Amino acid sequence: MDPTHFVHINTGSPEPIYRQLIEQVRRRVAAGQLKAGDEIPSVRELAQALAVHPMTVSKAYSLLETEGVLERRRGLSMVVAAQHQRAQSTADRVELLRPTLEKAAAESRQLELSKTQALTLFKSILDEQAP
Amino acid sequence: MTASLNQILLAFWRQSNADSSRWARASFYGVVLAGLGVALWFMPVVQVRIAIACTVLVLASFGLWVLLLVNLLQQNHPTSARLVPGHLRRLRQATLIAWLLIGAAQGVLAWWALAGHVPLPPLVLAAAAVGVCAAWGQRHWLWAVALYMAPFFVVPLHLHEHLAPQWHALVDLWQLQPWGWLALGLVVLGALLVRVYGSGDASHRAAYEKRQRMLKLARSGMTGNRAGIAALGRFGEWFAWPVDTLAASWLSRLLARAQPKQASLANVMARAELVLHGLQHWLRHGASVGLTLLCVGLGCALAFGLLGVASGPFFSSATFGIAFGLGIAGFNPGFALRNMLWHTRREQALLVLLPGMPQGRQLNRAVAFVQLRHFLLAWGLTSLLLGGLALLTGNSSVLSMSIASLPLGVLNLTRAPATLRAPTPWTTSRPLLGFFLLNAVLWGLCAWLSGLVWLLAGISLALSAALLTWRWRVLAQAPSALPAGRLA
Amino acid sequence: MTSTHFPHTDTPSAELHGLSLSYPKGDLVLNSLDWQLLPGQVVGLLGRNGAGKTTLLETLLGLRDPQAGSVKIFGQDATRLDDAVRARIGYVPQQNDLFEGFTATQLLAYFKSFYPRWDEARVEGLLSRWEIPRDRPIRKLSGGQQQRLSIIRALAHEPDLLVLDEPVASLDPVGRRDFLRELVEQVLDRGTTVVFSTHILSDLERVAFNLAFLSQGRIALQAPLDELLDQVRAFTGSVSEMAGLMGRLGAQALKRTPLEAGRERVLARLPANVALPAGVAADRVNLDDLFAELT
Repeated sequence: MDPTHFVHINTGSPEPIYRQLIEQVRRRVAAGQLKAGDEIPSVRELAQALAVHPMTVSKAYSLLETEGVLERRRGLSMVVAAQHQRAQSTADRVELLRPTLEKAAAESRQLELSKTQALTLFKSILDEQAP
Repeated sequence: MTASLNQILLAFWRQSNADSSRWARASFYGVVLAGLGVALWFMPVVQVRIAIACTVLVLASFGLWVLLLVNLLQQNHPTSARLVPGHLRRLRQATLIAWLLIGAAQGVLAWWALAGHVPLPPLVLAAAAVGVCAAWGQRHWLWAVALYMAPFFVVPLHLHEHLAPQWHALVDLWQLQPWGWLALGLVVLGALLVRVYGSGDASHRAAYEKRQRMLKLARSGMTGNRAGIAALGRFGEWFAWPVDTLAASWLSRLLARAQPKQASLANVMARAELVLHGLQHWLRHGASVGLTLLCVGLGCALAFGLLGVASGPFFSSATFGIAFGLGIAGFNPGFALRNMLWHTRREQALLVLLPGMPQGRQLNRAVAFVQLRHFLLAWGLTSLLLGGLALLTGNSSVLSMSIASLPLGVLNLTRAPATLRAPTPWTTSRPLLGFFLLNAVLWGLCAWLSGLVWLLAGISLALSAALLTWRWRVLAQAPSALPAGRLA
Repeated sequence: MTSTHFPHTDTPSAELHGLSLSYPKGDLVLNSLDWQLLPGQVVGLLGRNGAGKTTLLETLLGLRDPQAGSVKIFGQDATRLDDAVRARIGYVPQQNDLFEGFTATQLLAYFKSFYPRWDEARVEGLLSRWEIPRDRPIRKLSGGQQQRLSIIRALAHEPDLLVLDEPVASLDPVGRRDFLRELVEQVLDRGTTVVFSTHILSDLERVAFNLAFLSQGRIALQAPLDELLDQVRAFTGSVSEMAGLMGRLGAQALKRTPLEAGRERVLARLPANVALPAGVAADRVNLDDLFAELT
């Protein structure tokens, strides 16, 4: 896969480059252009091809891996993850919420709220933000 | 219309106010006024007074004309000639008006100086013709050479005898209708004059760019950053080839001996010196002076040996000139090396970041050391040559140049480079003028009392040694020498 | 955020404390400036024309003497760097026509003689790839060629700290892209700390991970570009509304611009992971906006 044309970067946009990378990979996977098991360029290759800081690429890849879109293989370049692996990552995604909830719990303790009060608030927020 | 003419003509005045320093202009006017003063006060005969005063004014007005021309040619930019409406036409009108006024004034002054012996019309025509030659001299330097050298060829070649009959015929023709001929002559000359300006085509553009380059070189040369002959074009490069090759081989030799991990201070400073002194590097200086002396020597040998010119009288009469030339070439480092530190200050920013380069007090002393070493070696060799000249001609006042330059050079090269200010043509020529003045005084003294030379030499050496010890100690306290000029 | 490419250590590559510098004519350029460069960072220095970027970079390298404050590079005072530290610094100054009497070969040989490490293969590769004539005097090279040569000279001795002052001003877009690729390779291979000033924001966006905004003689803000683009928003409203909003969101106001009739526009940085409440009008910003507001 030619790293130069793997993704297209727009500078001057309010969207940081790592997000653009994530968006484009997601879209290509969703559109079927990238199939499970397809190799993607390494951090080094992509950074050099696009003349982008390697940490930006690294950040994008890590987030995609956490989402379950990409899969890391030991010693080899990353590949697009298979479908069931993406579904399996729900458990991982739930874990992602832990830090924010821990912060919220600490704050509610500081404010000396009861468990019920905090949970009612959380439920009403979830209801209000439901699409 | 007068507004634009005013702008065009006054531009040279306004720009020169910004360009040169107040002191330089003041001294120039001072000299002119002094010349007039001498004429008006000291000369016994009225006519001689008038003659001298008028000559001074004619020369001053010629200088004015040349300055005006330089500025007007600058204004004749190819783009303006093409795109600014009426610019070229106005420029030509302004030139003609200034030329006629200055030519007429010069003619009247010359007529007055000659007390009416020569009639007015030919004088005006002559002044106008010289003005046109000066204008064309700005465009093509051959014309300038012809103009300034022509008077020196008339007498030796006995032209005035060979062309006498044709001259008398011309004079008779002129007498028929002097003012008519004047008018015709002015028309022809005027047409020639306006052709100096280009109209914005490709050849004009090329000529303008070349002229700008030369002016820039001259300007930077006045502040001590002599670009070297190589920058003058392909001919210059060919001429400078031997010196350049020598410099390149010295560079490779130095680099071959360099060892990054264990650099000796001498080797590091030798490499730094190449960059610090640029085209004033001792190798280039020595090689070019040496080559020049060789050529002159060959010329002299040819003249004495083959052409039978007598050597004794030649040296006696040309003593001052030879001493002057040798002195200028040999003692130059004392004045120029300090300025070179200014001109290479941006390269110094990279030099101080190189591992192995000394810093702080060590750097101050190292820089002063390489500069003094260059100057003292040059001084020694030149003094030897001047001594030889003194022996040859029996005129010991030749050594006054050595005596004058030693303390001045030592003082100049031991000042802290960190506080160096940007050199202007005035600040560059000031120490030189001081040197010439001191030299003139010492020359006079030595010529008056022949034994004085040795006394003065002793004083000069003692003074230089004292200055050196004092300044050397002061240098240790000064801020770090490079990059030069950052604390000005 | 660490990865195998970027071992994060705590000793800064460069540290400036309380730096104050005025020009000899009296203008105060740097005003009690504090700045830190950590190893492996690629920092873009942004500032208006005349804000003092070049002066700051020169002071960083010990080429200018400040009136107050200290500058340390790799732990050493910048005006008295020893040979080991100087061998780890690369500098590309703004002017490229330096050493005009030398040819490219002579210039590189000259610098090679001073440095213990020199990557000859890389120099050869770059000279060929960028098509720089080797035996022509530097004053006869074009501006772009001179600039490329200057870059090669600075990269050749494998520096750990690279300071670049408008390194791509004379290069065409392809040349700039090439140069950025070289930088990326440096960062990947050696974890070089890079600080460079440029006006070409698109280049900065690609390769700089951190940005430092120079304004009024101080580093007004230094932050990763990603975070800034994610977290900074522009809010418009009356002064009291804005004050209340900033308080509620815990946002840090970066710049306030008064508008007519008691309203103002506030550029604020929200804390990480804070969602905007519904009904609040906020504009996202791009790097151009950040430059205009923060410098």
